[in-house]
Amino acid sequence: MYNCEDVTGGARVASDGAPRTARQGGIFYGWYIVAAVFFMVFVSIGFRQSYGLFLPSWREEFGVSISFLSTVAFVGWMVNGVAQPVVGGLADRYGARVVGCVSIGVLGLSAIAMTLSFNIWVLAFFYATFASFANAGAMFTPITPLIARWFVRKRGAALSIITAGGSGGAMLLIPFAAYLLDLANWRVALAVIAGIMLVLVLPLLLVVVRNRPAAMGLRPDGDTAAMTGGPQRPQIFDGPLAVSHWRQAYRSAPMWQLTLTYVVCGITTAIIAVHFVSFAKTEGINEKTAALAFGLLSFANMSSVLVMGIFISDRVQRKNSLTVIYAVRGLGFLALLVMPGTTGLWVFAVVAGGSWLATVPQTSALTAEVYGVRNVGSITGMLTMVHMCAGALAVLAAGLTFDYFGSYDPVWVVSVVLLAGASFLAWTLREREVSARYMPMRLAEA
Amino acid sequence: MGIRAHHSEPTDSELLEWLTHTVDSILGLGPLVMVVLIGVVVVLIPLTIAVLALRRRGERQA
Repeated sequence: MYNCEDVTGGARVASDGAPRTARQGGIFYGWYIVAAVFFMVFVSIGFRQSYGLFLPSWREEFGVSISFLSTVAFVGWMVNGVAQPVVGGLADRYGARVVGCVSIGVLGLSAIAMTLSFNIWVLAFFYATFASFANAGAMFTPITPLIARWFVRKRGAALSIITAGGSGGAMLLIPFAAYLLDLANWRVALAVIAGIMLVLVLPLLLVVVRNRPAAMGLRPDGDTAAMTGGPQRPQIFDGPLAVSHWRQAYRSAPMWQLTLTYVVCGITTAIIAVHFVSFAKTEGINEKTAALAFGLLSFANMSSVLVMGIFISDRVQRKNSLTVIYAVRGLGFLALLVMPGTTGLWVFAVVAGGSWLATVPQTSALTAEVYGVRNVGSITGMLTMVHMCAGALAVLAAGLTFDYFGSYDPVWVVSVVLLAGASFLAWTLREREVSARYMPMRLAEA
Repeated sequence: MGIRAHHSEPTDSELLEWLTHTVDSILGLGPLVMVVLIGVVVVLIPLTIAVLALRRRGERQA
């Protein structure tokens, strides 16, 4: 007999194995959880990305170099990366609600500690350690097991909406902080962001988020009866390659396919996030045009995440989505090579921007469907960690390459080759054989 | 380890300053009005979510 985790609260399918998908009236409560988590990501990413905004103020007040502050950011990035599997594991064990609440609380208190710092080393310590670690717990990694429990058929859509919250935070919270900086100073701006975390996000999570639908007498997707197997059958929520410990996942091919494609994702997004404006300058494009192009990239990113998540991702094989996403991004980088000047920049912004964050919900959802929900926090954390570490190293490598060749062309060539490889690797994933999405059919055949 | 300035800046402060000034010139609103407007949106989002979620829970219990 299988002993699988029952995320449905004990609900069983009818003895004939036929799925029951009748829905309850009104909006499914899971969507309120999506909205609450969306806001958490909105604020936590807004905080993280506002770091660059405060650099001139810190330089002026503390008399430190940009290199020093960049090193602090780099250390914070690495701490955030290493924290991913830790917070993922904690979310698997204690639930995303606890992890999210503690993380946003620590993040808010760290931000307050930063505002009270009159020594740059104290500020750097709080940012690079507590804030960076806690930031990992208030972002995508602990959310995956939460959403995987609340959604099955609409998992991709739910994760995509939350992912779009990251772009929304950058688009709204950073200008908000910039205006506060204009009106007062960096301490006030940071204190207001800390206040948003502690007074708005934390109570919202406590009031709205519940780890499992069973805690509210509900079932995933709002069904009145779930599409689960009977007591003697494996449940579709426990992936076909379910593991009792995350390390075991590395014994299977999909884990390596997902890891390697995600490494390429990390490399290509981090390079652009950091070198985009610098590249534009080398092409003789002014900063304002580059800024607009980057703004267009962010808008295309948010739009594509929502469109792909809501209308496409849950209707096709996720590996096909990933294949197309990586291929399209590769075409964007190709445009930087073959289209000179501003044209290449705009084409890149639209084409590559459309594929920017779309990999996150697809990869997270696929991980949950292959390896089940029990350890998906840890596994997603490992994937995110390598994504971030690869990105950090790629940023350094791209800078060194530019210094050596005096051009970004070698970086774009390598990016195109890597993205073509990632696209192929995603396509080779045998999703129908390893994903819980296709288990009901297999069970029916058995 | 020396890290070039643009390697770890998630947000370019010069570009953002230009963008905020451009938005100001288009909308004709000052920083204070923009802070109030965005602030109201930021406060309303969680309040709306919490109220709707609590109402939904109340409906279910009823």
